[in-house]
Amino acid sequence: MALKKVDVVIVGVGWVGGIIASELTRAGLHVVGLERGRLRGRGTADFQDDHDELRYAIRNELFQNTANETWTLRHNLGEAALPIRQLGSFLPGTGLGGAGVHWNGQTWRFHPRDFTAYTSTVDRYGKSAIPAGMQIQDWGVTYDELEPYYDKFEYMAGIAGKAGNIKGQIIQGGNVFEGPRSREYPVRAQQTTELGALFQKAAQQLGYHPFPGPSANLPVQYKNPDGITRGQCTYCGFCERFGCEVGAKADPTTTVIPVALKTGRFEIRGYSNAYAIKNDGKHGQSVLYFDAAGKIQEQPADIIVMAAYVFNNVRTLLMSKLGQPYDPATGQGVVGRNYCYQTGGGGASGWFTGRRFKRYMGSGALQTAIDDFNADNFDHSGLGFIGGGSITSGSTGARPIQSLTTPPGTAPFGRDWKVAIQKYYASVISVGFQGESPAYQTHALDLDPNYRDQYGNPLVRITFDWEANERKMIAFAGTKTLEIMKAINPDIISGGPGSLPAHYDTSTYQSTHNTGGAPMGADPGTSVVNSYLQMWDVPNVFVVGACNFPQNAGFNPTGTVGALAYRAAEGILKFHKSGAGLV
Amino acid sequence: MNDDELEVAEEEAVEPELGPDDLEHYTGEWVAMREGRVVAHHPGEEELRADPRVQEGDDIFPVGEPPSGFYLINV
Amino acid sequence: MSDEHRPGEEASDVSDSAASDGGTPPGRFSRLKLLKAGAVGIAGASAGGILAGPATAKTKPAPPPALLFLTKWEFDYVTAMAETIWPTDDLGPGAKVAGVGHYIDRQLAGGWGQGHRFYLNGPFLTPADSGHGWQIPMAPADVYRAFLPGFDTYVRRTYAKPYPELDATTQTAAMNDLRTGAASIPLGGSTAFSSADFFSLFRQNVLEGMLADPSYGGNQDMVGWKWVGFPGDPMRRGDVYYEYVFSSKPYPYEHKPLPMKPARGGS
Repeated sequence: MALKKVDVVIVGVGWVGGIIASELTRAGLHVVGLERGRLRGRGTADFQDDHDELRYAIRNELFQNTANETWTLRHNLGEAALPIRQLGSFLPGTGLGGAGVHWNGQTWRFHPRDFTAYTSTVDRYGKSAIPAGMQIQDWGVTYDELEPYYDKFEYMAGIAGKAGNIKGQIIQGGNVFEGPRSREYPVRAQQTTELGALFQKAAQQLGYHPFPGPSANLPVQYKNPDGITRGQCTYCGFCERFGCEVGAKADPTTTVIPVALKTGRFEIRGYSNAYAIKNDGKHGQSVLYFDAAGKIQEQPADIIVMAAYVFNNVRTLLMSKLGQPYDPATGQGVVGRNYCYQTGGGGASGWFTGRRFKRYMGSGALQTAIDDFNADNFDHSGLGFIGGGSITSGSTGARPIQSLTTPPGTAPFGRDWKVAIQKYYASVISVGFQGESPAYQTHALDLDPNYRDQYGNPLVRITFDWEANERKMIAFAGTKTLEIMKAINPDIISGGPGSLPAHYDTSTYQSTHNTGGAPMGADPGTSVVNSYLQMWDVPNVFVVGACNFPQNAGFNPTGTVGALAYRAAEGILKFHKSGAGLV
Repeated sequence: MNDDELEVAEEEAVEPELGPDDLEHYTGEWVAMREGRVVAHHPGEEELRADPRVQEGDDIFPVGEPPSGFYLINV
Repeated sequence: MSDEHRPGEEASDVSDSAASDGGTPPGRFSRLKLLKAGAVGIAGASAGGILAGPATAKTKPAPPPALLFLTKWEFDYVTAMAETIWPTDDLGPGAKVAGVGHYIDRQLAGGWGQGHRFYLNGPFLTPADSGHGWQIPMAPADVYRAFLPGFDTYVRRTYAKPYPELDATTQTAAMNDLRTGAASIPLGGSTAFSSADFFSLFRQNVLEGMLADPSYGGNQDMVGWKWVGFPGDPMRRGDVYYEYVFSSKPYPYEHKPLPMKPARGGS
């Protein structure tokens, strides 16, 4: 029997669910949030003594348990997909706050060109610049349209940074390549550590434009527009994969979720694992979910919001037969298309002999960056690839089990290795590259035919691999990070043209920037949702998150996800009044 | 287990084969690819670019070892 | 050689740092005081591991903890192999002294070792290419139990003695055989789990055993942390990193690590 109907049901209570709940409840709507994970044990008080590298960074306590539900991966359409049997390549969150509890806090805006990746590329380089099989698309929304929502997210979260472009005026010291902001960041930028300063100096010498990486970890106490005050970072060096014990890291549980709860109109149910939207093809009626006892519950609502991260947003639509499923063999359909990731590699490492840094101190977004080789910020003529990435270096924390980087030629174990780790643990500098991930016709998400989750429902199947464009991008990136490393001039350097392995590897961590599968756009033939993240076919269903990216840019996604969440909230309120399609 | 059962088990244990253009064959080398085929491969970039089989417009890149150990770049 | 652990040493370190701090720097949140109050109340020593209890100048050294999963034979093998990775020598303590064998034993007995977070449903197919990671129907505890006898057979055949009885140079050779795949030890099909995969898994466990918080049974007396210069739980001395992170000032407690407090907070 169905539960009592509510105005809105949101599946997933992380950044997206939290932001949308805070906006809707404030406007008077009654909202139920269904969170598959636990609600307790996820707050600041629970992380008081969480500086345990093994428990959180290696045994993955805060992330999805793949024993219950995982994903399968095939590199191409000809291969049988195999399950990702333990966490590796990416670490999706679960529980109240989702990945917003354990992220690093690196918070960016995508470039204006990123939103028109297809049109901009064709305009500048011609259609032939886009290799056969690549399927990049415009977003159906411009940077300028999204700017107010970026601003809203940054002020809510207290992002610390230095603007490089305010209303068209370029400001040195900020990111001179960024799109125009309406105003400065809400919090002053992080200071620079010794390691960051070495990178900054080298980048400047080479004529690049370094700036402090925008940080969701507060350098000073901050009170946001909702009246929530959070304290400053302790630079404990236990950021990514850990909860923040002082609330310095912007986290849905310390920002937007309390705002929603305070209205009295937000009910969150934990251990509630949604799997389908009951519908008649034109209208979503209710969300079906397994409760804590494993029983199926039905929650009817006027408006349904999917905020359950890339994989489960797409899986739920497919299970519900909402929207036209995408067929990677033909390129037809929309649900599951344009799955992308993040192209990492081409970094350089350096070792100083006799110079020690306090690498174990730091904060998740404490770094210096250059944007000179990202997006279309440089001329790609003759390079043979499109896109680029951000280059960063800094002090994000170096916990010992995972940070014993030794110079090339060091023995893999034994006395010589033991000597080397003592000599070099404190003396490593690395320059990293985080690149765009374009969409391809054959890369997609769909339902696996063989493997099931704990409830007997099919797992999501990912079809993905590195293609020639990314391989050439990474080779190029390696030459740039090496150039910077040479200017830093440590005693030993490892670098050069970067490479990706023969096939995408699911076993080693790279990034949790999975995107796509429910892309937004202006054309219902190639997108699932419109620019308010409202489904074209089913106007009372909103699907929101990184799943909306038609391809991934060369920056961390959360800033853009936050902006889209605020945009979706506005759209939902408009729809609540009009009952119609918004675009 | 009788002999017939053993025979069946052995047949099923055949490993899938990689196509000749699968990059796995070229781990640790530089390759030049054109329209999905590997046209040349060499241990080093310069030698590869000097190879007469390599044409302008070919995709030229190195193939890395599978990642091992821990990620170096916190992103 | 690292400092001897003496009772009361930690408490004095913390109160020194609390006393030396001139007060809350301007603009910092008042929680600083709360954290310091918590840090001063040291609840028990860190050395000796959870089962062994605190070592004091007056009592005998505590007996080693019981084995929870490994047999004695397996424990001796694992300890000898761990010593090859991170040896105990004139430079300093290694895996045996740090308790890596006990660390691995407890990990294999616990959730991770028993595969609680592994997706172990079939079908199990041989991967067509690289990049698919773990594809065998075994948990890490099963892998150790199956692999060690196979490795032992290889070592006896190649080097005439079991691993723990070999000299260090020969042990290094045997470990390299494992690492490179020259030791062909059957465990599933050849791409499903090779000896090189076991080496990676084992080396990772040894690193954990040397550098995880001592409450997990390894890194006893924090010898691993002292070796590399990692100060342990950053908040045990209160909120002081801020004073160092943006300068080149060395942190005085880099080689005087403190482990996590025994009791956790919570809501």
